[in-house]
Amino acid sequence: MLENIRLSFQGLWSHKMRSFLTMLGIIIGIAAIIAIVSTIKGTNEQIKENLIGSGENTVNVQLYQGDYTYEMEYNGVPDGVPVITEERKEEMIALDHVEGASLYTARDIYNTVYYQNTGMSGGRLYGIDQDYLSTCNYIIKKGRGFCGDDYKKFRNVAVMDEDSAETLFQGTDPIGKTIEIQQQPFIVVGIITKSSKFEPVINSMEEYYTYAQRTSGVVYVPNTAWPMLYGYDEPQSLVLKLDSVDNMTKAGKEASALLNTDLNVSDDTLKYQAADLLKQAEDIQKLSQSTNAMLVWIAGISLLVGGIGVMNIMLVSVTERTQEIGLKKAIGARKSKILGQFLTEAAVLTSLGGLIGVIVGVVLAEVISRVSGTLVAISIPAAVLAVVFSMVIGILFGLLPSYKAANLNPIDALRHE
Amino acid sequence: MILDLQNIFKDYQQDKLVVPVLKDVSLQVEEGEYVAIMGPSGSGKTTLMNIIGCLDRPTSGTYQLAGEDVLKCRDKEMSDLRLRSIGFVFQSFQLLSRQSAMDNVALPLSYAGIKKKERRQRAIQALERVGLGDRVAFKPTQLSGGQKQRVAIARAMVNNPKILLADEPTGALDSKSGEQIMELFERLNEEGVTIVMITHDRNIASKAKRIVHIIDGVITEEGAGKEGREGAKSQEESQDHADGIFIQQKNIDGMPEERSVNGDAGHITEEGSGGQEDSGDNSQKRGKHKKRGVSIWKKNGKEEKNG
Repeated sequence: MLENIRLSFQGLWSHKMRSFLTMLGIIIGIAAIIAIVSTIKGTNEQIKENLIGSGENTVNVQLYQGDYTYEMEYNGVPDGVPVITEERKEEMIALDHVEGASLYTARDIYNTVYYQNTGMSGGRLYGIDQDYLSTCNYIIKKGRGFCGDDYKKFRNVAVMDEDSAETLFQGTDPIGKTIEIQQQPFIVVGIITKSSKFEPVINSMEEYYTYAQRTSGVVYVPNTAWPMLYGYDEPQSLVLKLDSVDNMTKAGKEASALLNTDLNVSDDTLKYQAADLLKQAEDIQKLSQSTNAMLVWIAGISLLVGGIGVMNIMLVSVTERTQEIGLKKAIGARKSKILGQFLTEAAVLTSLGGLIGVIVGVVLAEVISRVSGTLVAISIPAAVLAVVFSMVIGILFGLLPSYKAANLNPIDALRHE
Repeated sequence: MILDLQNIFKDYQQDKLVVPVLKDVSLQVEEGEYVAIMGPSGSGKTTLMNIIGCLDRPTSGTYQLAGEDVLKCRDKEMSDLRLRSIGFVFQSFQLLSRQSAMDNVALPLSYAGIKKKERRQRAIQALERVGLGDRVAFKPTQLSGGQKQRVAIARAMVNNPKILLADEPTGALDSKSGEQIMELFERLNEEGVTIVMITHDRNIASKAKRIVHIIDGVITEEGAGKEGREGAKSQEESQDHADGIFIQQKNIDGMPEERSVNGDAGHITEEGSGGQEDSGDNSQKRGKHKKRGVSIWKKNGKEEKNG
């Protein structure tokens, strides 16, 4: 086998120009596929990162009414929606891929948060349990987070993100200052920041709305202080921390299914659902994937053409080397040896083409990335697959010529000029 | 008995026409023999050679090679027989031009599944045996015709075959190289190698110990080769003059050519067209005779060019 490969290289090298031109079809096909796949992968990762935030791996499970999250306003919690118990929370943590879970209630901020005369417009107010900040990977930038006593003693304390601090305090130190939430005084104890910077690319109004909530500032208070702000119970939401972004949908579905078993509501549109961020990401991905799948097919056609080129050149090679084949058969080479020799040659030719194609494709992807400014992720499995696939093409399209060679009549073959 | 062919018939199909090529050929060769099969073009000697070489199957008859019934073998077993029992030497050497002499010689060994190290050793030994120990790494293009043929002989011998089968081994060589090849054959035969050689050259055939004439697919006569002849050479020659019509020709180089027509057998038997026996060179320029002589010779001479 090794001997065959060595001889194949020797053969290819002796016809450099011809070998290269034959490989060109394969090179172009593979390069196109690699470039496309890298771009798809890069785009996908960018979409995921934009929508979900990299390294966070959290998914929110909220009460939905139809396609939208349930809006409290003045209605209160619908009948039959029970409080999420600590046991349920433990069950959530026990789910596969779930590393942590926290309960929270949240409301949009409409003229509810003030520091002196400065108010916050937009943003969201959260009543959170003690694990929430760590579950969501928040980093305490200044001051402290919530401690056990804050909960036990029903303290009116608040933590806010940098955006809110900037809005309310405009550069002055917020720690220890008193802010007003729903006419109640709260002492700011800490400023938090996300573990990773989240800079979304906004392509539509819908997306803007999604991000606006997340970017115009959040204020957190202990959930023990929540009833003081809003007299009635809010439906609780759940945030799950996962081991990776890829498991968000699955874990989100499992968690919402678990919560839905507790529901006892007449309105069947009322359901717990995992926040749609990942689905949204996937929808965008699907869109780009379906167009890119077309491109991959087109590249596949180039591979097919390349394969036919290989078959053609192998047939020429067999004709050229008829005498050699005749000799080899005469001195005792079995059919299988001849078949193996030519198949190896075809496979070496296309594998080499595939390898060069991968390199060209990677370079191409980098160029695309530089020019268009999109992220490009080189997929190693795709590269390996591409080389293997081109080898398969070689074997497939080498079959006919090799079979022809193996079945040559040695007497006629030796006489061939 | 190494070779035992009994009642071999071979027909070729040519557009609904069945052309018999071999008609009831029987031939036995003992171990250590040196046999030349002689015949003009179209006599069926190449077909016989192909059958002996396990490259072709006869239409009917039996063939045993070293006790093995060849005709019962399948393709794969035929390949193995060619690999292990037969060493081929061709008129046009049939060396792989891109590979060194050693790689060429080692080729059959690789088919026999022998490890690389041993292949090298045995290939070098085989090359040394034919006197090319110093040309191991040379490519065929760097070798002379005679050296190429010696590489081919080394390749044929490297698997220690039961017989060495040579098809016009000197046909593409000048007379001096041809003689060297014949000397090598004689030496190999002395070492115990069984040789079957096909030729239409009387001088070449005369080096064999036994000559088998084949004409029109029939073995017409068997005669003693060199050993039997040497003692009685002059006598035989005079007989040639007496029995047949003896024609002296000059070829284009001005060398005399010897022709004889075997009158009493009713067949035309050609026993060498080159003037080698007399002149010692330019024998390969056969078929370029001047138009003198009997017309049947002209025809044969032309055919030889192609054969």
